[in-house]
Amino acid sequence: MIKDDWCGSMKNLKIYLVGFGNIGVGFAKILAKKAEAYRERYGLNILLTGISFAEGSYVSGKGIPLDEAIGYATARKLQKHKLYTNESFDDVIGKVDADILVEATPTNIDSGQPGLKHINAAFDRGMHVVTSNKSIVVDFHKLVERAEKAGLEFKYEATVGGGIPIFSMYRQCLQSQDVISIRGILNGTTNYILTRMYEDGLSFDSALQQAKEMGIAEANSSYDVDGIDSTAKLVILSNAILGTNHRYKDVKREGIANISLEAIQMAKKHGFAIRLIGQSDGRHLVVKPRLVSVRSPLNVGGTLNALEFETELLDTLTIVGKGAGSIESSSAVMSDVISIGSRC
Amino acid sequence: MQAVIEAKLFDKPGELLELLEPIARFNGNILSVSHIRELKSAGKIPARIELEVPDRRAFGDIINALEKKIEISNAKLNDIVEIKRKSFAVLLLGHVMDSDANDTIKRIVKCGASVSSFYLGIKNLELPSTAMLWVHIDDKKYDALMEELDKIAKEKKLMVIVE
Repeated sequence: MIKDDWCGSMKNLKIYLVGFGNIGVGFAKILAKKAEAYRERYGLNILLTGISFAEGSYVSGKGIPLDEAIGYATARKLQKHKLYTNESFDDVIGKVDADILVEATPTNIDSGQPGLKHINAAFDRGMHVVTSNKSIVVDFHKLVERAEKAGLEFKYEATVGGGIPIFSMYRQCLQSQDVISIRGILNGTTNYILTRMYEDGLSFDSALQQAKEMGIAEANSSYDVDGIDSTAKLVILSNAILGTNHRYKDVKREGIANISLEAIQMAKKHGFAIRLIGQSDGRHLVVKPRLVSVRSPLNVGGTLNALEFETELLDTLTIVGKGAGSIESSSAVMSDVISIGSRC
Repeated sequence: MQAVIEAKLFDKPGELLELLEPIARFNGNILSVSHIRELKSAGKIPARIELEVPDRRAFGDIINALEKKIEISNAKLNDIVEIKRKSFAVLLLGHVMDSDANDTIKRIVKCGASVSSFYLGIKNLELPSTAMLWVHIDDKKYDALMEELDKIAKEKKLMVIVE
């Protein structure tokens, strides 16, 4: 669905946003703050022409007023907005005028739904897709192939490493060589817990409780602590960068729940920290706690993520940054949107 | 013949000398020595020697003499890898003693590895304990050792954390 006004001095770039939680609202906030800068810098007039969420949708061909929508979302009164209808995604996708679907619904590792349905429906209608949803792990190669065959863009920077531009860096800076293996810290919550145990001598339970109180861990922490989140990210990384065709179940996984303070202290005494590391050499995919030398570039603290690429020509390349947080992930989504909008 | 030897040395007086002495004894001619203190890890400092040896036999004699005293990680003769070893720490969590620590070490050694140090942290015999060991193994045998460690972990209900 390349619109008549797609190319020109000022391009209208119309977005249909599905999912209006932390990342969706974060995306709208960034757009509200930076819309003028994007017009000046990239010649892109980015409009949100549709937003769908659990209770219904907003649709406006002229662009939904952002500050109002953000205000209603923050106040948890989405149904009070004048544009509100109880139409679902299925109702809106067929009529919304949009170039790009931004898919920001919650991840479902088991079935991939509703994210996969949204993405496939967008491809059916010729829309490019940008997503933060790790559900793509369920059908990764099919989605990539569909997009390629249709000549559409499919971008997923926000699925791994939050605000760290991993896939962009790979596509733009490592084309000259093969990446041999990847390993790193892919989950900020577990890294925060292990850091508190290492630095403050907290037990696992106390560090987890602290993470919950700070909003870093969910009430149901299994997704992070048992390595599920890291596993989904590792599969996306491995498939996208090493060209593998692995699925979630192919990964050998072990979480951090059984790590005692005594183990952390024993490691510390000998110059190591314990980190939850995901690694893939293209054949074996493993997520499990590892001893990491305190001098290693991978030994980053708090909620930071760190990723190490073993490359053909550059030896080892390490990239570190904030892995969690709605603004970091929303920023990655926006970068993908601008990247698509900037291609003519 | 050109050769390269990489080793990990304890941070103590005389260690570097231990590395250099057999080279001189078997007529090796040292071209350069790197002793990289900044890369010290787990109490050991990596060292790299570039040298000339009269023939393959002298190279073998030097390696044999060094292996009795020092941990060699890599050795090359005329750019062909002769020795490539991994040395790494392994942390065991659980009932390490009750599950027969001696047997655990024997099974690691049976994979072709050597174990140079073993530290045990134990608060109370009833509670899970923690042990840390340093393992050295030829690169080609590494995957088999990892499989054995997985088996040990399952059988003995231990958590095994590898460097």
